[in-house]
Amino acid sequence: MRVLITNISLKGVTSIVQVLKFTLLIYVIAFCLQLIKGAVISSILVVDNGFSESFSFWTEKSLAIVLIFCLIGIFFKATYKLCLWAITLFLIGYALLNYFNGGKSLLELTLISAISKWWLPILTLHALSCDYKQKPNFSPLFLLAVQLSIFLIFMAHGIGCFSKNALYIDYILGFFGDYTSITLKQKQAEQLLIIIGIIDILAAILVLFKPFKALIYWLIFWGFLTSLFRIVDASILNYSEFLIRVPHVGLPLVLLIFWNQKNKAENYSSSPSLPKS
Amino acid sequence: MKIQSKFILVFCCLLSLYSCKKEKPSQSDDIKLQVMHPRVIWTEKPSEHAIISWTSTLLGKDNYVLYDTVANLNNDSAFKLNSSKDGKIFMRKMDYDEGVPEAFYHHAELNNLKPSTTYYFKNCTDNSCSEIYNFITAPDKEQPYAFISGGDSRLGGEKPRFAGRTPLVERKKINKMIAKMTEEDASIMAFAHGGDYCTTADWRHLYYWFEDHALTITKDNRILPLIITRGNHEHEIGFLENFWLGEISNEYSDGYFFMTQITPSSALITLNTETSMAGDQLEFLEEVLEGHRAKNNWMFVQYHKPAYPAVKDYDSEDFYHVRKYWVPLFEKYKISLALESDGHALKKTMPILNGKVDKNGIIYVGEGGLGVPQRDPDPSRWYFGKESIVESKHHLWKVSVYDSIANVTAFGIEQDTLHTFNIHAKPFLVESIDN
Ligand SMILES: [Fe+2]
Repeated sequence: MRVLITNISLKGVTSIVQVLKFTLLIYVIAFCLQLIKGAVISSILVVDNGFSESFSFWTEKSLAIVLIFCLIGIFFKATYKLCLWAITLFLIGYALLNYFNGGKSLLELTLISAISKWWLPILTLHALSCDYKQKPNFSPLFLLAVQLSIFLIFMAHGIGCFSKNALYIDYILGFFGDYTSITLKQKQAEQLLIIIGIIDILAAILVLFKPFKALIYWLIFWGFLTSLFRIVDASILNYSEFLIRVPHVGLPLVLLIFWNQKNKAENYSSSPSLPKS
Repeated sequence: MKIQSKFILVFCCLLSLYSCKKEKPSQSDDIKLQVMHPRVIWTEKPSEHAIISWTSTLLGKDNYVLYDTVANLNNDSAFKLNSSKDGKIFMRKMDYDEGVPEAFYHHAELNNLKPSTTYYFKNCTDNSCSEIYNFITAPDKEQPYAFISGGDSRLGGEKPRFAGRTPLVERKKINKMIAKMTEEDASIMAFAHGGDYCTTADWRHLYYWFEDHALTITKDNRILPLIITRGNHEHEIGFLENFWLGEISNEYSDGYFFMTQITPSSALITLNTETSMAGDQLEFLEEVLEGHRAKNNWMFVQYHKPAYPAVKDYDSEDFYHVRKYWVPLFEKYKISLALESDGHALKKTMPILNGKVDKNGIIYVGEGGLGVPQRDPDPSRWYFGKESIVESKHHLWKVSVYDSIANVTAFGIEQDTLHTFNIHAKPFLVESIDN
């Protein structure tokens, strides 16, 4: 991996930075949209802690504004570190708040999947600092963190499929009902979910231990398709749920850049992490 | 990095998550046997069937219900029925930290009951028995009746509101009001709870819900049977353990949809917004409406997440799914009234048909006021109008059903009338389905 990491070109670093920045940008904007619509923070403030509706309304809106400023801040050399740390703290706090508030199915899974996004700003921070220093010296942990993120996202998906996530079932039934002439029964949708779950878990394991190019393309395709279902099923008005899943595409894309860089490198064959295809 | 170290890292991540749930060792030494939390649950045929559930501090060897139609419940002549399901209530670290005692659930299914009959019972674990309670079975003949409907009884009281650390003032008040209303009006037959009993269905929350639920018991120890809806705060195993509905519940908690035949011509369908809405449940809804709507002049439907929310985002996919999958059937089969929860506000929509306000449409009432702090609803939504009510007030709904008219009244926490209206029975002929 050391060989791979140090052999990445500056162009590659810039591409990784662009993808991570774009992913984080969309992801945080989606968060802000959910905050503006009213999210778990206002529920906890009003319901658990007795604050007024207007206080919680402005708290959520203020947080959304602060997050937007943080997003702007990541484009400046002087502020990007502070802003990315602030976003990290927010993401961790929000995921934990959601978990402890209850009220959502498969919370443990949501938490696992959310962990994969906690370090998204930190990955961006690391890539940005490499870019600013014009030194493509990625920490060996960087690639592992990307792989681990994808592993957690797809693992959570897979477990969701095995535990018959009701939303997934309704996506399948809704899709077949709305766009095809085939009428599926719940049992059949569940069987399909098992197959999808096996593929998801297999993809998750492979991405961590033995990634290859076709797998990375699959991850990008499947990450995009499953996110797209949020609006295919519940109309474009559900766009924030689609946008919030942009890391499901963005992170495999980062992996793809690494892969392409590896192919360009001369002494890639010594990489134990991304073996030659 | 070597594959082994990656594996160790992933393993550590998963292990640390699992440790969040880890149970503490048992504390059941020197605990005095006690039975508590009596409740009666109605499912499909309340004129002949009921589930009696309770909690005990020790598992016991002999868990049973003694019941009879005579008030003094003689131990020799009373029927003895062993429980059908018992077990230890799951506890996680937070439950132990909160100080709730370890406990065990018990459920007994009473079958072949007589209609319109008062049954006296006590539930026992070994030689520890509860006092004698009573409940009344549903009739098998037509008669006027009423039921109480409401949802969202989690939290309340002082701030911050966590489990049992603060008294849940509003919930207790509403529960006492339910007892008083039942004492004043013997026609009240059941309490249809629309879901979100507590913040979670973990024991630190449910324990106090059961403690407070005892306040709904009348002075003469009458227990109002519960008709259970599953809400989005009931995803934990504690819900399956403590609200067992016989065949209706299953190990995946994707059951909890059924039709309660309250009188021969009046039924309440309970749906579950926390499982697939488009699958088996949709088939169930269509079958039950097709098969039973014509003979039921009154067909009420209750479920947790609203089709027409007063507080939360109208475009949220859960609400969208209720509108997409269930509402067309409600409209096709002309249900009498939809009872919703989840939003934490008092609401009654205008009658809605085909996504528009229409005098021939369905009225949706709700939306969760049994103790949870109330939110600010949005009265500007298209489905609210001059005949609506949209307020931020604790409440419950009382639905009083007569032959061809039903009165639907929202009562505030002081038993004050917040809103009242009448609906008329919509006789339904199978031929009248216009496809
Ligand atoms: Fe809810």
